[in-house]
Amino acid sequence: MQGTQHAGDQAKRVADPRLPRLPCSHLRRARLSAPRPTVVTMDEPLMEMVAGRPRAPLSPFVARYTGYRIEGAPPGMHRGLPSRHLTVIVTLNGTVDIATMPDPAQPSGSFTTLAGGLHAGPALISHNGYQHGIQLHLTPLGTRILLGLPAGELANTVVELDTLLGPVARELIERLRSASTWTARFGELDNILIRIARQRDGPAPELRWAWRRLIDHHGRMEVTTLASEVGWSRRHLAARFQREFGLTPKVAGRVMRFEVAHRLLRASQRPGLADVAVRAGFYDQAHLHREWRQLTGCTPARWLAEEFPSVHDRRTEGGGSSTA
Amino acid sequence: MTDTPAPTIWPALTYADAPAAIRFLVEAFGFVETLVVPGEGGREIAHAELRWPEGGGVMIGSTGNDNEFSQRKPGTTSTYVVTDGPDALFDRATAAGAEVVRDLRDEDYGSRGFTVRDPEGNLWSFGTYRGA
Repeated sequence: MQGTQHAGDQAKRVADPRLPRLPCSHLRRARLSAPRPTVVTMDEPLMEMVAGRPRAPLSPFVARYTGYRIEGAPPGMHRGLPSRHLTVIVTLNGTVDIATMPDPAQPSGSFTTLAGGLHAGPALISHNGYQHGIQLHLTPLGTRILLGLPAGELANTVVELDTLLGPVARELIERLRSASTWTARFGELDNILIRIARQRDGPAPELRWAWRRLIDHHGRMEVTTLASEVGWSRRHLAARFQREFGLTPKVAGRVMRFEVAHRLLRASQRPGLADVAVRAGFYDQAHLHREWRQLTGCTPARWLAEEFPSVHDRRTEGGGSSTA
Repeated sequence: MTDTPAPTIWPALTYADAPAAIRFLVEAFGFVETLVVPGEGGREIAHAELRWPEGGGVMIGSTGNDNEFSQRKPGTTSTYVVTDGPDALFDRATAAGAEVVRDLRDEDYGSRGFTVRDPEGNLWSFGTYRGA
């Protein structure tokens, strides 16, 4: 472990918004192929990332858990990218420091726990190379049931978990921090979430249907078609959808198409950008380029260069790593 | 950071108490969890993957799941794991309560290693020998 003085210096450097290096990634993929050796040398960074699936009754509400522990990595920024899932984080050590919120009008903040809604622009998270926590990938269908409010009320917003869960947030922190393995932590999460999943109604069936249809079509569905399927006017659907989930159906569709492109570009057999554009449902590569910029704050080429500095790295990182 | 190739052979072990077994493998030996898929009940693990930091990995499942692997009798597996640090690992494993089956020793074929038993009876051998 490096000295705190050193880490503090790094943190100060990270806080400088003019920092040139800005890795354009969502919690950069840890090198799972190289976990910590039994005998650790002091200057080797530790990067651990663990995928967990919630127990079956929770699966409509939580897509997955991701445990992460990063120690001694180069300090920097990463981009929290738009996705179809809300983000809940319980830190096991330290804080999550959001330098720029998805809604830049919101003030920056440090969070021990957080719940963040859907967003259609990047969040910038500064880190000093030490990060330890669990991320829950919440579906908008489960937000009412697990957090007690529609996902729409959290759109473009990040709040501490206790504002939503009260004392259960403290209990979560304590249980997760006292568990000694990721398996045990995921088990504790299952237990607490199943307990707090109150008998509330989820979203209206029309909205659940519309969300599922968009997901099933990877965001490639006309709002007019959706509206006619649920039997509402286009306007009414758009308004209700946005109130419930936080994004209009059109923007949600854009985020889902972006996710397809994002997944294709992360694959070990990465297609060319023109091919990605077609397969993810964009008109052309220029369209993909524009969308990527809007949703992530940087171009696909720059994101690729930062995420996969060399083909060699990409191959070694991709091999047999987690499904996170 | 030492890059190790992704495993292509995964020993699969069945445990009666998989969460406790995983804790033991992590604490006593230094395995690293990479994936956890729970079973139907509160205690069962349908599937978990643990990586060995020097390369390779094992898969873990619980008895009591509805599949063929869950019918296996726990505690009957032997696994050999390559390590370049058998002495430190021996201290770590025994400090964590691993029962010594073969003490740390130099073998006539050039390996240095030891064998311990995990809480459900599986044998774990560790040594510097990397195969012929």
